[in-house]
Formats: sequence, C-alpha cells, structure tokens
Amino acid sequence: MTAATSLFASFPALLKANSDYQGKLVVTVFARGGWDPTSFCDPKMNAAGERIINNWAAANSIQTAGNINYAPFADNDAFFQAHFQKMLVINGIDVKSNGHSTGTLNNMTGIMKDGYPSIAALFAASNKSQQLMPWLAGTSRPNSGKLLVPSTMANRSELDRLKRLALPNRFRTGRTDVYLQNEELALLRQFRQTQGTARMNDAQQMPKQRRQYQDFLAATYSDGSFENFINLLETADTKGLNPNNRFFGQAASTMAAFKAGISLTADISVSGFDTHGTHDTRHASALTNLTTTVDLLWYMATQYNIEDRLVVVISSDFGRTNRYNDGNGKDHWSITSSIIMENNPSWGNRVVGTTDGAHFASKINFNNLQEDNASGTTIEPKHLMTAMRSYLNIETQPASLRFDLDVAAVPDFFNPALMT
Amino acid sequence: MEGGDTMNFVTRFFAINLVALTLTACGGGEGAGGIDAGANNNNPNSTPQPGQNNKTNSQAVTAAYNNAKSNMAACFGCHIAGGIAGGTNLILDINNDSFTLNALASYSSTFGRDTLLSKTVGQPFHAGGNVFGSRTSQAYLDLEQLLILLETSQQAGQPGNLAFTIESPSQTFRRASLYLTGTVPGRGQVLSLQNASDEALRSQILGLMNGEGFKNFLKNGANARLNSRHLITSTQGVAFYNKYYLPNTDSAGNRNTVRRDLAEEPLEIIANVVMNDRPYSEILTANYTMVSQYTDESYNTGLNLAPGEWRQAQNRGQDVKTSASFFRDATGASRITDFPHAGVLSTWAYLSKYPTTATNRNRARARWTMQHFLGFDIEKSATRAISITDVADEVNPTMNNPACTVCHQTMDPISGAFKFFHERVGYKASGTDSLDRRYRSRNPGVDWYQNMRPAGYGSSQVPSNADPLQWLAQRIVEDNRFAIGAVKFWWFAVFGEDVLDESAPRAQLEAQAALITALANSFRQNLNLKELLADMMMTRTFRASKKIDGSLDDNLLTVHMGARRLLTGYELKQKTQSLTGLVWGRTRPSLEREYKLLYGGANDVTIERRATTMSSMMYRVAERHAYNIGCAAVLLDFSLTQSQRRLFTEVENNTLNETAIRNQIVVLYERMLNRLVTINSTEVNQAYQLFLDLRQARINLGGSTRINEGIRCDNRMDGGSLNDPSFVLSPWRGMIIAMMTDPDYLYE
Repeated sequence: MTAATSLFASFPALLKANSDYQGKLVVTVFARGGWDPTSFCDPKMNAAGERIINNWAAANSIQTAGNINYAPFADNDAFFQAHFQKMLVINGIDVKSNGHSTGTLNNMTGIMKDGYPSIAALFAASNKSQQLMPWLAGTSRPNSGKLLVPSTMANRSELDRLKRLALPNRFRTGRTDVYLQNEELALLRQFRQTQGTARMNDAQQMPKQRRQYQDFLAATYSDGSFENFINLLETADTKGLNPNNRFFGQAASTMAAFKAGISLTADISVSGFDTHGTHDTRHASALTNLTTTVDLLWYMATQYNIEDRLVVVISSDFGRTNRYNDGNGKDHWSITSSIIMENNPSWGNRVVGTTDGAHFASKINFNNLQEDNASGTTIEPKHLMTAMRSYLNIETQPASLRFDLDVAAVPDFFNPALMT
Repeated sequence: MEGGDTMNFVTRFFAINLVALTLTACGGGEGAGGIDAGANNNNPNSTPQPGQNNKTNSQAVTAAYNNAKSNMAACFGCHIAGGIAGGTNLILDINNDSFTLNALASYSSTFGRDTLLSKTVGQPFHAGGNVFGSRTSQAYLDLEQLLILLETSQQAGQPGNLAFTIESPSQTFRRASLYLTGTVPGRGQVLSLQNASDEALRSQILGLMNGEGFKNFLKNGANARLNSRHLITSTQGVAFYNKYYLPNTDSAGNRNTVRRDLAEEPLEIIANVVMNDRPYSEILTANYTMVSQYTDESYNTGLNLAPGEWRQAQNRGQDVKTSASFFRDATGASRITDFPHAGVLSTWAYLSKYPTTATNRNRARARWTMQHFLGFDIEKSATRAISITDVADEVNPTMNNPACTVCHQTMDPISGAFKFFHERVGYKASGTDSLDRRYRSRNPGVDWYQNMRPAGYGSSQVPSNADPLQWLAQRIVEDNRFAIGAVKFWWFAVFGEDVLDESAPRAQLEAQAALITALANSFRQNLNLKELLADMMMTRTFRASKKIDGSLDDNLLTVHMGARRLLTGYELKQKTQSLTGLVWGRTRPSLEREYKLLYGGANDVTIERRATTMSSMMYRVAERHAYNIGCAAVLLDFSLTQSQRRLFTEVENNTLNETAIRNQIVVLYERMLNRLVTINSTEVNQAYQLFLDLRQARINLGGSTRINEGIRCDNRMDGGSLNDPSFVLSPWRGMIIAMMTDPDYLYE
C-alpha cells in the first residue's frame, strides 16, 4: 500500500473503538532554562580550596529522604520528604549541548534533530482513542513529530469562555435558548462529516491538505466529556494555590482533563531557570514553583482517584555550572538530571547514575548500574527516552519505530534491585 | 581517493543537457510567471512536460554561479586538467562555465553535495587544505546554493516536481486578497480573473498591496516573527518608565497605551518602509523611528500627533539617570539627543524581547538578529555533541576553545555591535556605555568587555567613528543572506507554516531550498518586498491544488502543501465581515480578544507561535462564531435588494424553485468556501438535500412563521423583519452555519 492509499478510510474507522481508557496518564514537567541539579536532586558540597559550587553548602549539609539525597535549598525538603517513594532520580545525564534549543530538543525527544516527537506526543499518538484533546501542551513549540495536534491548555481564568464553548449552541451559560434545534444540529453534523470525509478521501489531495481534513474531522468530534472537564476545572481543589497562576494552572487543567477522560498526556513548562545572574534567589523561586506544581499534580491525582495511573517525568534543557560567575549567577552546563515518578512503584526511592564532586558525569555499567569510568557508558537523554518507551509499552508501536533513536543498550533503570 | 564515476549515462546526459539549456535559455521568449522550477501553468488541467525550462530558474543558476565563481580562484588553480589536482574526480575550467557547472553537478550527484562542500573546509581530508574557512563563510554558502540549484534543475524534469495542478487564477487572487487586505473580493472581480495570464494575475496581486488592510498584514506578519507585542503584557515595558524615560503622565491608562504603541513601533517601521516602496534594507538602516500620539511625548519629538497617526521621528527623550541624579554631558544636558536609530534593531520592543545579562552579553540579540534577518539559525548551523570538558573550559572558551568558537567567532562580534544597549534596554545606561556595574568598576575607561571579540561582523571590526549598531545594520543588509532571510521571514505569513525542517523528505527539502534561493535572487535586485510577496504568491508551491494522479506516491512530490492554510483569528474575522458585513463581538471582535488564545492565537510571551492546525478547542470557537453570525447574516443580506447582496444573489426570501436554489448553493460554495462546483455535482446535491431537510425540520417545529421560532437569532438590524412565511430563511440560516463550520471556510 503506497502512501497515497494508506490513509483511505471513512472517518469513524480512523478511531479505535475503545473510549473507556484506563491506562497510564503521562505528564512531562520541563524546567525551562536549565536547572541546577546540584541545588536539587544531585546535591554538591563545596570542596576545600576549590571554587564554591553552592552557597547553601557553607552552612548546611546534604539531606536525605529514603535513598535519595537532596539539597537543603528552596522548598526541596517538603517535596522530597513527601514524594521520595515515588521517585527514580537519574543523575549524570550528559546532554552534550549547552544551547537552549538543542538541549531542550534532546531532553524532550532523545535526539538533537528536528521532527521527532516528545514522549508525551508519542504516548498519546499510540494510545488515543476518542479523547477530545489527547495531548495538552503548555509550551510554545511542542514536539509533535506531526503525529497529532497538541491542544492548548485552558486556564481557569477563562472559565466563563470555556463554559460557553462546552455548549457552543447555547446562547448564554445558565440560559436555555439555543442557536440550533437538535434536529438541525444533527443534520448539520451529518452534512459536515459527509463532505469533509469525501474531501479527505479524495485520492488527489495533496498530503498536507489531507492531514488538514483529518485534523479537522478529529476536532469536530464531540461527546459530553468536555462539559465534564469544565465542571472539574471549576470545582478543582488546588490546595489553596491560585489556579490562575501560569504554572499551577497548567497542573490543574491537566488533572481536570485527565479525570474527564479528554486527555492522556500533557507537557507542562515551568520557567525561570536560566539564572545567569543572582542565581540563588532566582533559582530558589523557580525550584519552588517547580516542586509546588509537581506536588499539586499528585495532590489532585489523589483527589480524582487517578494517582495510580499517573507518570510524571521531570527534566530540563541542561544543568548549571559548578561555580558562580561574576554576577553571582551560574551559566550553562551540559550535565543534568531527570526524575521519573509514579505512585508507589516497585522501582521508586532509587537513584541511578552519578556525578563526581564537581558535577562531572560518571560512566556507569548499564547492566548493574554501578559506577564504571573505565568501561562504562555515560547516560544520555536517548537512553532515558528509549527506556521510557519500553516502560510505557509503546516501543513497538508504529510511531516509535518510525522515530527510532538507534540505541544499542539502555541502563536497567526500572530494576528495583539495582541502584548506583 | 574516491571511487570512479558511477553516475549512469542517462543521469549524466540529462544533467549536462539540462544545465546547458538553463545557461543558454537566457533571453528566451517565455512570459513572466512563477519563480519556482517547473512549468508556468495557469491551466489546472494541462499536463506539464518533463524537462521544460524555466527562464527565471536559469537566471537563478547563472546568478548563483557568478557568486560562487568569484570565490573559487583557489579551486580553479588546482582542479584543472594537468594541474595539481588533475588526477582527482573534479576537473574545472575557469574559461568554460558550462563545463565547470557540469563538473560540479556531476561530482555532487555522484559523491554527494556534502562531500564536495566538506572538502572546501578541509574535511575530512583535502590536499588543498581549508580553502573556504568555515561552513558559514560566504564562499561556502555561495557554493552550497549553487549546488542545490543544480540538483533541483536535474529534478525539474522528473515527475515529482510537476505532478500536481495549481488552482485557478481567480482562486489565487481571492486568497491573496484575503491575506493581503483582509477582504474577500467581489464575485464578479474574482471570476473575471478565471483565465487571467500569470502577468495579469501578478499585476492584480500587486495592486492589492496598499491601504489599512495591507498594513495590518505587514504588521501581523512581522509580529509573528518578532513577537514585539510581548511588550503589551510583559514587564519589560515598566522599565521604560522607571529608568530612562520621564513619564509624560501618571495615568496608568496612558502608560498602558504608551506600552502598546511601543510594541507597535518596530512593526510600524517595517510597514512604513514597505508601503512607501522603499528598499527593504531600510527596516534595519532607518535612521529614524516611528512615533504615535502616545510615544511622541516620551520621545520628546514635539510633533503633537493626532490619534492613530504614526510618523517618522527621532528619539530625543531618553534620560540617563544614575541613582538620584541625572547624568549630564559636557553641555549640561541630561537627555540623549544622538540616539543612533537602526530601524527595528534599536527599538524598545525588539531589544526587550531578548534581554541580556552580564554574562550573556547581547548574544541572544545576536542570535535572533541572525535568525530573523539573515535566515541563519546559528544553533542549528553547528548542531553537534560537545563534551563536558569543553563546557567546563574556563580559559575564555568562547575565544579559545574550538568547540565554542565554531559559533562564537560569528556571534560575538555581532553581540558587540549591541554594546551600547543595556540589559534594561536603555542606550548608554551609564552615560558612556552599558557595561554591567561590576565590570565597569574593575575596568574603567572601556566600553565593551575586553575578553570578547570586538564589535564587528565577520572579519571586519566596527570603525572607531561609526556607531556600532548602525554599522552592523549596514553590514547585514549588504550580506547576500539578507535576501534569503527576508524570504524566510515572510514565509510563515504567506504559507502559514515554517520552512521545512530536516525531517521532511529530501526531495521536498531541496526543492524548497531551491525555491527560496530563486526568490531571494530575484528579491535582491531591488529589495522591494511587495514584489517578493507577489512572487511568493505566484509560485506553484502557493498555488498547489491536486495531484494529477491519485495513485502517485506522496513521497515523490517535491511540494507537500496544498493551496490552503488555517486562517488566523484575525483573518477569519475579516473573512466573515467581508462576506456577511458582520463581526462577532461587534466593536470588540471576539476572535481577536476573548477567544484569541482559545482559537490558537499567540500572546507573544509564553505562546510565541500561533496554532497552524485545528484542535478540538479551536473548533468549538469556530462553532460559536458561526452560530453567532449565521442568522443575522441571512437577515441582513435579504434586507437588501438582490443586486446589493453579498451572498444571496440568486433567490428571494420565498424562492422554492429547485434550479434557483441550486444556483444559489453554487454561489455560496464559491463565496464562502472558494470552491468551484457545478449545479448537479455530488456536493450540491447533498447541500440541496440539506436545504430541504432543514426546511422540513423548521416546518415540523410548528409555531409562528418567524425565523427565530424556538431558536436564538441575533438580528443586527434592530427592527428588521424576522418573518419567514415560506420557511425559506430558516434553512438558509442553517446552510450559512454549515458553511461557516466547513473546513474550507476555516482553511483558505
């Protein structure tokens, strides 16, 4: 079957029959700008006679929650103490770049090459059935791989508008007058489907045109789940946090969408990490926003009884230097960390990968996860992405095969018996 | 050394003859037409012939060869018969252009373009060494452009490039009008161009480029790139008052208006240049800015402008204030009066979009200036893995470490050219420079960081008597890549998508590269943006309609897009207003205000790029739009005489004649959807059935005969008749709503 004929189908047949999805829900939380793992999940003390890595280390020492070390900085303590059981911390990831665009691309997709999808896009494309907005994106330029269309995250500050959109045929919220009678609505919808499908199936359509019709028809699908999403968004318990805050709002919107069944994945972005000046103050603020956002995800997941389905992946463009610059800032550093979270996983409360005292990445043996600078391998984003595809059972899906990361071996990240 | 020549005879023969034809075809009798390779075709039903020449393409090859040849003296010196490199697979002849082009095309085709290009910079091995310096040198880039053009010339005769038809001239004109002016032309005007020649069509498109609608296109298109309207909501505008400009009023409302107009400033500069047919280079070299009623007071221009008026002026308003006292120059003045305007580059909105720090040192400004105005993405130019050892290098790595200098040697001189603009945007923040305080206190008497490359461009430094930013602007516009940058800058506004990235099929990438080169070569002649926009809209890429054969594999196509793109919220509003006379939200257009972001719009701060594909949320907004307008549009149109109507020109409010209704449906398909259908086509049959079904549904409802029986109808005529005794207006209402929620209404 050629590319020209492979897409021939009636519109309903393009969707899977299953609309009662109970699988995993994946959220990536991206610390935009390049975070400082040495002030978070890969804490570093200062070495005598060497330049200061962290000012907090002058008067404080590294803290521990279970098997996980963390820095006594910002609100880290509350975060790690509350969630260490959920965590797999991966340290010593070499991004091999200190450019924002390249670093972001590599961490989101596993490759320094345009056109590849993020793990959220890949998972949504592989598992979506009839969700209205399978993939939410809180970033400006989401990595779709052209697999599916991302949906902008709706904020509770737009609740009035969203209510009107929940029932677009209703003149005003709270009133019963409508623009079209039900029979008229049904006639128009049937007409639109018939003509739209015919144009989509026209064998002579140019590729982009065909995709546009596909996207359009998928966008027209409607059931009661959007209304449910609006209700959930309106009544969401956000732990006293401002649901209109641009970070917390993303979390609230994501959880409401997950609970309503209209989304499977989300890419959340928390900014403020590119602290070239006044690092300590600004980075503490950014980290606090990050941990509060992630904490809110788990809080709401518990409220909605979906905590056992949630997978959270936290990453960043790259790391920050092992020293301060003249402006008391920290500059770009190509070694970073990631954190994967699930509720009470067998592989939780573990650290894989390590760095030395100056935050240079150590090589590890991918089989036993022990440090092995002689013959081991440095962890790179592609290893994490490949492992995530396998863990999420999408590695043999057509989309994953199409976007192969060409990785020979990956660390046994999810083996609960192993730790670096 | 490399293996023997493996190019088969057919390919080599074709390449030689095609190149020869392109060189000798100059001055031929072909008419004006599309600038892309392939046939000029204004008849969607004709089959283009393989190998058909294109005059403009041959001009592009000739121009590119002349550019490349001027840098190839060293190549010609060795790669000649009997020369030092006479035993290699690349033999040239400086006195025989045709021979040389054939040789380059053949080598590139056999061994790969990158193989040839890599040797010019000594990679992986070249006995002649590194001849071109770097992959960003002009010599390298010129040769690369030439090789791409030659490859595309070879492919021009292959089916992929010509395997699709293009839309009719009337359809192209209508789309061009909608994009360029925000209006849908009248049906008569559109249909009169059905058989127009390329020359006539291009002339009509050029004729659209004036007035407020065109100005909005220019400003919106430029903002889609520059995101200068970030200033409306970001905090960068606050510093404008707090630090450098004495407030002309304490009114918060007025300050918001000033901030809004500061956001428009770079966009107004671009619009001013283009609409007055000035060389496009002036967007950077302009020694003035544009001021409004609200900004002229802050800039101390004394112009006293009227509301909505914009005029050229000089910025004489910036104060330089250090702590509690004003900096005063030798004359005792505290205001900067010699502000060095450099068009867009020196505007508050542009500089504040890319803030700097004591360590960033204008590198973000340099990076984005190259991206926007040279079409050069420096991050992607050298995407490669770097080691942590290089990252950790503290011995001034941007000056000394090859892993870093590969980019910084290009970027840092440009960064230096911005040296007098502070991290908080003000000019000469300290009075004499804009260095960070710590560095200045340790290094008195200097005006730039001494451990960085001096301000400059390429290998040239800013002369001591020149303003660095103005000097930079001049270098940028003189760079051959400025024209390429302009094509890429406006690509999104015209085509509704970015240029293809490396994930696209190779054939499409190369065809697009060739097209961009050809457009740029033509644009470079006079730097008239209107001409460039017309050229872009005349391309087969813009006008691509259908594959000539449904069984043709998509991967063989060198163009992936069809002649429609998702309309922006603004364009959708304009289209509806043009076709119906109505705006959703009336004086506060909903698609540009409350529903802007939900309909995929950008806020230029956290969302820098609008959506280019339809999502579920966006569709709901489109539905709401249609429901709000549909009934009122029908009532408004039928309140006019038939000759005055925009839509319902074939029927009256009691017409039940099938032929008349079908004719009306044909008109609606053309008006609303830009689709040409026939009276007995499947689509019209289905639409006619819909009309009947909707009418019956209304009859079944019973009650009065008013159109708003049981439904909401926003009658905008305040007292106009809602009577529908024949139950005809109601189905037309449904038909309008059906069309306004049709994909071909929302994509055009």
